[in-house]
Amino acid sequence: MAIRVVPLAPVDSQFFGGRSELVVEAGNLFAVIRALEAIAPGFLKYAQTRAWFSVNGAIEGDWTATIPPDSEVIILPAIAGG
Amino acid sequence: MTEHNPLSQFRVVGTRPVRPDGIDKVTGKAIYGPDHVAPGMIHGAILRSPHPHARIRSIDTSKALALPGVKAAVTGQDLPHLPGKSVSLGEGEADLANLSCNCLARDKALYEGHAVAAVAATSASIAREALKLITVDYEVLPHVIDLEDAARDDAPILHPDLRTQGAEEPSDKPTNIAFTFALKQGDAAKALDGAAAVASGRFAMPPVHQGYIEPHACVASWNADGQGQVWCSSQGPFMVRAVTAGVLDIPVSDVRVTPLEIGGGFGGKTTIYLEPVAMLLSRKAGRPVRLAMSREDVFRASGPAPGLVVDIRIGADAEGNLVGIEADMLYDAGAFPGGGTMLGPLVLSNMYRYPAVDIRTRDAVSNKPSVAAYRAPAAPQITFAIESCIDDIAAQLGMDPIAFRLKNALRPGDTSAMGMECGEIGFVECLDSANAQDHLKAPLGDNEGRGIAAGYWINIGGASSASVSLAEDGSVAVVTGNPDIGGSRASMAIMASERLGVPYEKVRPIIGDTATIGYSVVTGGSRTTFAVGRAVVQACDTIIADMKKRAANVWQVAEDDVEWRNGAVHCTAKGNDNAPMTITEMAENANTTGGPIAAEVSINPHDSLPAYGVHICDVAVDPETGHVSIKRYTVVQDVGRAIHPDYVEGQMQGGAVQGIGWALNEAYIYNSKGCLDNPGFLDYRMPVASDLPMIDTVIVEKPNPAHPYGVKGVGEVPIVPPLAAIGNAVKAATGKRIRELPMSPDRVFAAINGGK
Amino acid sequence: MIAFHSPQTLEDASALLAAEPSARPLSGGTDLLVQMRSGRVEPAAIVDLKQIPSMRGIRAHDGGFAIGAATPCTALLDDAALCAAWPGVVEAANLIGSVQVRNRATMAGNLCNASPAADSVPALIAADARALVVGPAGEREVPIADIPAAPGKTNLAQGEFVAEIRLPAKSASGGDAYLRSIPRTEMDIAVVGAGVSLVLDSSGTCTAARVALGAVAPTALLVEEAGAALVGTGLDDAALDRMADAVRAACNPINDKRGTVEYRTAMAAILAKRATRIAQSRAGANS
Ligand SMILES: Cc1cc2nc3c(=O)[nH]c(=O)nc-3n(C[C@H](O)[C@H](O)[C@H](O)COP(=O)(O)OP(=O)(O)OC[C@H]3O[C@@H](n4cnc5c(N)ncnc54)[C@H](O)[C@@H]3O)c2cc1C
Repeated sequence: MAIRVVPLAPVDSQFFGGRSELVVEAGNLFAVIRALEAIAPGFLKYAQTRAWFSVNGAIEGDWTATIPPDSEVIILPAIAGG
Repeated sequence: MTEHNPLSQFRVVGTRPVRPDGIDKVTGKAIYGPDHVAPGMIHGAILRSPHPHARIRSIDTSKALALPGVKAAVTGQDLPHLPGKSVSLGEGEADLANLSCNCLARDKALYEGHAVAAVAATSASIAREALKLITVDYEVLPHVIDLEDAARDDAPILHPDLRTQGAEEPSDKPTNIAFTFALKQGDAAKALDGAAAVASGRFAMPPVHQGYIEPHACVASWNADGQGQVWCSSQGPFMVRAVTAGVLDIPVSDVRVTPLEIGGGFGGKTTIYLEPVAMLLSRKAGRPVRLAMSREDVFRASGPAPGLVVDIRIGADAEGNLVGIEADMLYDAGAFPGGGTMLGPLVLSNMYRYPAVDIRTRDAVSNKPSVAAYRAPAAPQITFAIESCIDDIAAQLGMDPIAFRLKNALRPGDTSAMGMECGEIGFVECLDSANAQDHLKAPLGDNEGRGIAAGYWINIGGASSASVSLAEDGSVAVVTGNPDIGGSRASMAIMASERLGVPYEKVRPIIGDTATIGYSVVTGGSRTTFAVGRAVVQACDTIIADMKKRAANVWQVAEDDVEWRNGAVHCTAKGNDNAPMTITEMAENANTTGGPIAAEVSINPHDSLPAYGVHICDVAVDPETGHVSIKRYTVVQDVGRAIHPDYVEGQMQGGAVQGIGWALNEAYIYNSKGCLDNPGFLDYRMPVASDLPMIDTVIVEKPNPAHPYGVKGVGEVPIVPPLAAIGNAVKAATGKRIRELPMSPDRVFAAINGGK
Repeated sequence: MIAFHSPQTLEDASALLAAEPSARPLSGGTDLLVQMRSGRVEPAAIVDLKQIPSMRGIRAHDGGFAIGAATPCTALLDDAALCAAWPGVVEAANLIGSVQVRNRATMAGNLCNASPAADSVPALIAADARALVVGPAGEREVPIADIPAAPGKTNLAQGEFVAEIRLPAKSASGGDAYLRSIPRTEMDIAVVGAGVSLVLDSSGTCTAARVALGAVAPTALLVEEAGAALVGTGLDDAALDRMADAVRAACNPINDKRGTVEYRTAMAAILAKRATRIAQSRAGANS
């Protein structure tokens, strides 16, 4: 199942050579992140502490949750409050 | 949208019972950070750098250690070196190397007040004397305080290894610019060049402090067996545990953190300054050690909110539709990277619909204290610029400022420029409510002006744990790991009381230490009533399910034939006359139906919803002196649902007041030596009671479907609109658009008299 | 270790102060204790003046008033005659800090702390008040403006202290006022302060005027030219403009965290004008 991945800065340049879109085969975020780790070793560690993943417009915290085919995953830097 | 009357729908939610922690706090019994005493405790003190930027060649503590009564001395060399290590805090992450260097400088002092050494002694005065006996050999380096200076190519470099993250063309040149992020959609320049109305300008504001009353303080005890304990006030004991263990490079399980009452945090206590140092001192001294900041220390060394300089341009077509936005933001990180850079774009893209967007944000380090979160981090600053421009465009088009905002406001179903879908947000409802306020119709006097401004804040969710247990008499203990910074004990008790059908007074909300309850991220991000509250409700539901099962067993009926209603189990099996059993009876019989009735729930929700607010402000400006006084102020805010309206209103008022202080008088003032000139409340001018009118509040309730009672999160967004609301009111009163904060009397005077 | 003394007589107080060079008199302590806590002063001895009976309270003196140097500012409000005669002085003293601070703080402490921004000092200078100074060499009466020497320094000799603040008899058709500029509404230090005291004749012509400024020079200033610009006029706008010119000319402020030179100078003129109008209406109401 093809998933469109959109890494925002700084992830795009730091891990994916500035690419603004990647397509991976995956059924949940774990699989997405494993695929991205294969492209850019070290990404998994980053993802665990510094990133948020938005699946079709909504933040998903559970990496085991099934994501539908043709979904869009946006990688955002993690955001904190005050 | 349906109009909700909480009273008709709920028994306790929406009422205003007395807060469970009230009596302790007003009678002085509550134990705050600086109050805790451990048996055998001794007193620590911290030596701080007098220079804003200096290499530390050496530190000699031998004379201090020789002073009778001194039990330990430590420097940055006693902390493990942790390059590149970071720890996840659930909400965001902490760079341990930087955090460690902020607790105790390693090679360089990066700001005046940076901790460079610490001692512990049998009395606080001996500890202070001992500091005078420490010699530090400094090589003073050129410093940079001003944000724009820090971003220049020829600026003194703070961190030789720092390279800009996120840069399109990575460079290997040392820099003070830690991070950059750009977002482009459509052709904003073209859209703006063809716009019917454009507002633009450079807006600038210095750092401001959170201004909590209670200074940072902790007691740490590190036993010979390697087990450590920390007692401190913070916004999250699990955060303290994670970073203390991380900085010391010891197992997390070796640190137990007990939260004390917190005397204000506002985001400033989502990080630490003292705990690892107190632990080190305790290990060396073999005694518990207290470290506490003075007010001066708090100002010189604890995190302010970042300053911001932004060049912005927003435009609309003749019908009042926004056509595009350009913004170039430079946030001030202070001594270490992390100026909340991502939050500027987040805020920019979550208020209005823009067909074209061209924004860039950067953060730069400078020789000032490392910034920390402050209530809706980074949002008030950029919103000052946005909402000033929005007002100017409305004026140019001759449109009512609320009508103009309504025309462009994001609504449910819209997608923000950052790709996030707007759920059941209540921006439009807030604007409609503001439009209906009598305040808008009240007459204004000479030299008075009225301003309105809106604000957005994301509100987060995140890891949260809660346990609910029944005592033998049916009273309820609710334990969470989240310090009560704004009345959350009362909210937790209300939600448990509502769910379980027991009186509010029979619910005891307790804040546990890190060993008594599952992990929770900090009380921050306006998340606690939403996320921790949801855990409380789920724990209640778990014990309700348990009680239904037990009742089915008692009655020998199927579980489906048992119903929970009004705090009791009812048997619905046909032809059955089993009398209902109340929660009290269930509790009394717990040990004969399977044992204690209790449940702990841990969740990690991310379906929180943002908050929006609209503020209306009347000012009077003395045309001869430039003094701005706030005459009337109304806060309108969508809260999802007000669990305890008093504390919701308190948050709305408190946020507005902090914003008013930020707008009018608060600022860090540095002298030419790079030292802070106003490290106290006398000259760091937060508002006093006589500066303020009553802050009126209007609660709008558009429930969040992801929370059992509809909570959205309340605490942060009210600090977002005031800067622009006051700026817009000053413009209405004087005709002058002020783009620099604070709008202190001398600055307003200069503007009125033809200055910039 | 710090020695703490509570003498019962003026002589004992003077002897204790003379005996230790770093000794400090203590009135309300709202400056002294703050400075000791911050490490700015480290006296070896503190001499509390509050136990000396003659130093507390307000009494009639020479047609005017003698205010014991240890009398707290809020106590001034309880003396109806003083409030009626010198409302500007009482107001100035009761702008200091907050009610809690003023329950301790004294005008003498405000004066001897020698801050250029002390609020009661311009009002006292405008009112032509004097300080009764007691010391090893006996008593002397000194104009208020002569007590401060420089920021944080007084002209008092070792062992000397202020025992009384003396206000003259008030002219039947006189009035005084004090205004200050602060960014907030209270709990702040004056960016500029202006005290004005006037006497009018039955036609409303000004026959005497004293204008004093705070926070625009190293010590509070009596601006004689400003007063002179008012005398002989009916306090018309032109006269007030001339007075304001004299005020601006006398200003010699610094740029600091509390205000710029330009702003301080501009405010001095504006506050002096406003205080003049208040003093005028008070004088008019009295005549
Ligand atoms: C929160 C706060 C707010 C403040 N706000 C203001 C303000 O708005 N305006 C303002 O002007 N000040 C302000 N102050 C400063 C202070 O309160 C005043 O200067 C006050 O009048 C000092 O009086 P005191 O009796 O407390 O003086 P003390 O602290 O007792 O003494 C001040 C100094 O004078 C010396 N001294 C005291 N009495 C005598 C005496 N009889 N003879 C000789 N020397 C003496 C002492 O040794 C010391 O050096 C504020 C202070 C605080 C803490």
